[in-house]
Amino acid sequence: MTDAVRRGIANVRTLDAAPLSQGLSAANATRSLHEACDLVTAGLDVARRDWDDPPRSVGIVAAHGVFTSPLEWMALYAAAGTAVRVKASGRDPRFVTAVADAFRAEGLDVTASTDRHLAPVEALLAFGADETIAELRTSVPAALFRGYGHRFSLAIVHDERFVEALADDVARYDTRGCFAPAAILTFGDPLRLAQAMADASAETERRWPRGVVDPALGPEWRRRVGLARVRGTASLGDAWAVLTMPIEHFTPVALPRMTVIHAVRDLSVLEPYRRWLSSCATDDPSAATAFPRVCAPGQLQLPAFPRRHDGLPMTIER
Amino acid sequence: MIRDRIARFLKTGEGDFAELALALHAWQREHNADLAAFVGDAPLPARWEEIPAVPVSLFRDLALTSFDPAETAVVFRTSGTTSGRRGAVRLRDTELYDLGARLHAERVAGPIPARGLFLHPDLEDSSLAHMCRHFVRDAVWLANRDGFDRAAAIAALHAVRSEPVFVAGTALAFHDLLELDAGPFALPRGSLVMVTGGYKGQVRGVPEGELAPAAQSAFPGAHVVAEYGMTELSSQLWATPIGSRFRAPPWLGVRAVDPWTGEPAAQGLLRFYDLANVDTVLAIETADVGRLLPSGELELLGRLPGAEPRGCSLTIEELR
Repeated sequence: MTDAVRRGIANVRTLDAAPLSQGLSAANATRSLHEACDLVTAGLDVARRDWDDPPRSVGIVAAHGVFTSPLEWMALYAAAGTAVRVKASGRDPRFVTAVADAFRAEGLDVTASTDRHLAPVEALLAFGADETIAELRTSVPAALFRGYGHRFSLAIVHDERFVEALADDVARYDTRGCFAPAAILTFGDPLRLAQAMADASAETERRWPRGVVDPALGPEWRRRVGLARVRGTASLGDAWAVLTMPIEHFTPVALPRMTVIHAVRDLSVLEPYRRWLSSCATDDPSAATAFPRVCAPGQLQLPAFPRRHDGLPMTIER
Repeated sequence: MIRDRIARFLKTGEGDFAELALALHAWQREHNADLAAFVGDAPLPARWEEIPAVPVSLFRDLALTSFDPAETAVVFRTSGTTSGRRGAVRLRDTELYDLGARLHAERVAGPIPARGLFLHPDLEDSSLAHMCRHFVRDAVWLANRDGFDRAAAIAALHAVRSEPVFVAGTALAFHDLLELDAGPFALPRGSLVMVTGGYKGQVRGVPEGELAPAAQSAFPGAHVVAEYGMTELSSQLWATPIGSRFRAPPWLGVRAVDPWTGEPAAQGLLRFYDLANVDTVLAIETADVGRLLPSGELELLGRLPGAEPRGCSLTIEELR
């Protein structure tokens, strides 16, 4: 099975990524697809190890946003010989459908649909808002259930040594998804960091241009830029922004190619958000003990495979 | 003084909207530190349509007053729904607010009866409650912080005999009332029924599109109208009768823009340019979507998808 999955992934890797990417630019979509395929391929053997009793069938309710995200879950369970039934986002199911087609072509039992009514499955994995997950838990009969709710990630750095890597974390998937940095917290000089981030963001924009943006984010984009102009600083490019503002204006939601920098003395500000923390990119791991996942700057959107996802295993036992 | 010129424009129409809007914006940039920082080093616009609009959500974070905040005499607060944080609109007085509200209401809806029956609570910091208080001499409030008293509302509406009344409430309150099927409420000639706000996705039952005919059937004899206003605006738009398009007063400019780029659009995110907003900021950007018609009338299309629900209709829901 693992070899069939590898072949399927190899076929997925050759696809034209841009139309499947839910709006990323061609350059960003292609590198995201290649990185995701390479990570999953490299980790498949490890992922299968120590997994004693995989379910016979699994339903995966995929969320919209990070287009490659379903790949690792589909590959993981298909490699275990599990029948995989994916409920793709109705907003854009093309990538999930393409992966299912590629896996089926290798003889794997993988299907995709946007139908809200999932076929009966032994295990169900749900991604999305906490309310969505709660609804699925009660509405879809499955003996085994695991929900991965919305979380957010941050970067915590002391200085501007890692701005290129951080700009890459911001640019990947156009700052969508739980692993995108909602903000950078710094113990150092926020203005120096902002200037360096602005330079790095401009350079990153040249290499990996931003794609299509959800128009509904316009008012919130302008709110944050306006607030930064009043309470901090704002550097704006054609398709990026680097803001500084006091920590009391922290918002745990990332916007596309917007970097918000907050100077902090300690991390007590995170206490109210503890249950929603996902990942932290930092040059000081000792500062990030509250996070289920800690990584180096530049690795936020390149999570290891396999891993504990938001503190939970990716595999589910019967 | 700019305030006097605007008051004169409201009362007599003397002056030019575009010229007054540009003058007010320039004046506010000098007197409103938050606005000055918000616009940064952008040059003064040449056309009123180019005046930078402040997102209404910024009223949660900034004072945005064109006067010393220490001189604040009145504070209206937004409902603060999903975010849990309420925006605050600070005013030095309500003179222009009251003047504009009554002038436009009476122009488009006719005389406002002196007696009011209100299906929303009399909250000190509610701009809707303030407007209703200002409109009538005698007010009966049929809701309080504990909720909307349906039985009292039905009894009060059936008890109206000879003197016309002004009945006002949110769409959600009217929805609840009409669901009880306790009408029709035969109000005396000259009565005015004002429905404000939308459902904000809060209720099941009478679909929002059917509220207008349902309300008209429930209040035979009364003039049933809709009003669109928000805490951050000093002026309101009215649809007379309910179900028709909204009309703005001459001192309120309206634009629809692309939600992301801010470029003009026939249908899009609504921005308002309110000359009566002397104490705060002239130009605000809402999270509502609408279509501007060649006649200048406005068709409201609801919330911007993805934007959080908010507005006065939720006030009463939150109180439950």
